[in-house]
Amino acid sequence: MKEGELGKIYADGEIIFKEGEKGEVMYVIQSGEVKITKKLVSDHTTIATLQSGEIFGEMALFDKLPRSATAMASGEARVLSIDKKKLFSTISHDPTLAFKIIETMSQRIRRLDENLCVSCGVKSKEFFLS
Amino acid sequence: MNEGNSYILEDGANISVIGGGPTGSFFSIFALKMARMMDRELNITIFEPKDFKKDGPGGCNRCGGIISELLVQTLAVEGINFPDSVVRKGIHSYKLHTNHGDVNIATPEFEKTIATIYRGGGPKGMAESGKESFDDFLLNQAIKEGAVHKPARIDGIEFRDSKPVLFSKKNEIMKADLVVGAFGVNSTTQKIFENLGFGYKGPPTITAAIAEIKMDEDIVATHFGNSIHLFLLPDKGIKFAAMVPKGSYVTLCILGKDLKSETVDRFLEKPVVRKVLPGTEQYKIECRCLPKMNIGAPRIPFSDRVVMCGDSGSTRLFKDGLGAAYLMGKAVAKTVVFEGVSRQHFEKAYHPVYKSIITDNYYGRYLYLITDIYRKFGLLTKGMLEVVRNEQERAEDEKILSSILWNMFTGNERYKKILPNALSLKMHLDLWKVFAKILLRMT
Repeated sequence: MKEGELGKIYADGEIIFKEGEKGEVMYVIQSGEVKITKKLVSDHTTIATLQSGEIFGEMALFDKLPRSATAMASGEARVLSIDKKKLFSTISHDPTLAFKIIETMSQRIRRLDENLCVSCGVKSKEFFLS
Repeated sequence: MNEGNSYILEDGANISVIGGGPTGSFFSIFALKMARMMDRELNITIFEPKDFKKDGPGGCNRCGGIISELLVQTLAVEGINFPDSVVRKGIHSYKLHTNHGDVNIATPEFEKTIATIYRGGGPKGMAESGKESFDDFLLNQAIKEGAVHKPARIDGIEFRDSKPVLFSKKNEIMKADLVVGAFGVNSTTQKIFENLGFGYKGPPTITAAIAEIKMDEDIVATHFGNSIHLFLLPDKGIKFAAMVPKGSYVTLCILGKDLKSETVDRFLEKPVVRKVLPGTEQYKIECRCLPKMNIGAPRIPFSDRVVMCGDSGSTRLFKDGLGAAYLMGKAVAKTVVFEGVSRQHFEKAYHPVYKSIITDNYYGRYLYLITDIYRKFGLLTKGMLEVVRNEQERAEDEKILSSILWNMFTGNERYKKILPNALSLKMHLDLWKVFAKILLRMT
């Protein structure tokens, strides 16, 4: 790890958290890529590959349910963890801090909608008009 | 632009920010982001004559240069991540040194969550190091959001038609809908705002002693590692001192009373400090200064179309000035975008944040008073060290004294939130057990 780097380094393929685990922290990628995979019957399917600057692991913090997917480093990745208690305490003083998280979640829901439309064979416009 | 006298900013309103340090940049970044969310357009001009890219005194902003864990994490959530060209060293622990031994307090899994930075280009000769100034990085973030940077010094402000008019070199350069005073306590700009007659008076200050100590990067790595070294010594006049590693330099910051340039030399000669430093032939004091530090807050930090924030307003006592810059810059941005720019608007939306920092500093004063007692009496210092050492074997939520010291000296938590832990019965029982053991050993 270089002098000025923040966070923790994960080696290629190293698990950051596993599907089904309790989530107490969310993460912000400082460098590299993180793959989000979900177990479907017996195989793990990649549902997203996230880049530097993106956040992940926020869902379990807000809905208090176990981790919905597994996060692992794709290549070497450096990740900064954000403690749940600290985050919520800061949001309680300044709710606008949640703007960025809401923006990220909205973008992901939009992407999911589009993927759903692709797999159903309809254009997103038709999907919303139906 | 606002032609009328409405205190609600309209599309095209002109905001001038005096000072392009962290507070001015944070204000501009968040005001522009929030205005965009509300489909509004603001014109923000940041007046900052200093070139932060410059090394040596020309670009220096005289600061210890630590970004707390809380601020690193909060800014990451905001989408502001520091490139490694800005961070001089990632920090994972604080090493507390006393005349009776030392102890290490680290983050879980030694994750590097604290950043050391140079506000300017660093000591002379560092401009070519490939590293970036923190203030320049933030100023560029503000410019990316749409702010305009003018390298001009504002030397006069007067009100015309109830709006502030700015002058530079005696020439009128802008009629603004709002002026944000975001300059430091070491700036002469303070007088201009004091002369506006709305009751603003610069905050009370103390003098700190800062020195940049040059040594080989390997020596810094071996002797200081990824830790900030904190010294709690029973010396009269020195509240505490910190040595902050930054690549091939270590920044020494001493806080206390009646500090002079020689305080640095006297401090470096202390046996407990000598133990940390390499041999005298392996380091050199590159530069030193005695900057002012804000320790209070002006009673009236705003008026119609004028608001003060950052060091020219209130800041956190002894710690986390950059965290305070973020809080205040953002609080002013929210007020300006969602409320307005009248004295009443600032009173309603900005003053609670401003005041919360002042109130929190009262708790801070009390905590530092207790720390003073612990550092002055050997028995208490030894007891404190032993309890912290014992706590390192325990689970994170059982490290009460360690978390108090961590949160106090890293600036990671509001003082008000630290205080209930300082009253913990369990911690006091641990301390008294240890005091009894030490007394028995002595007899």
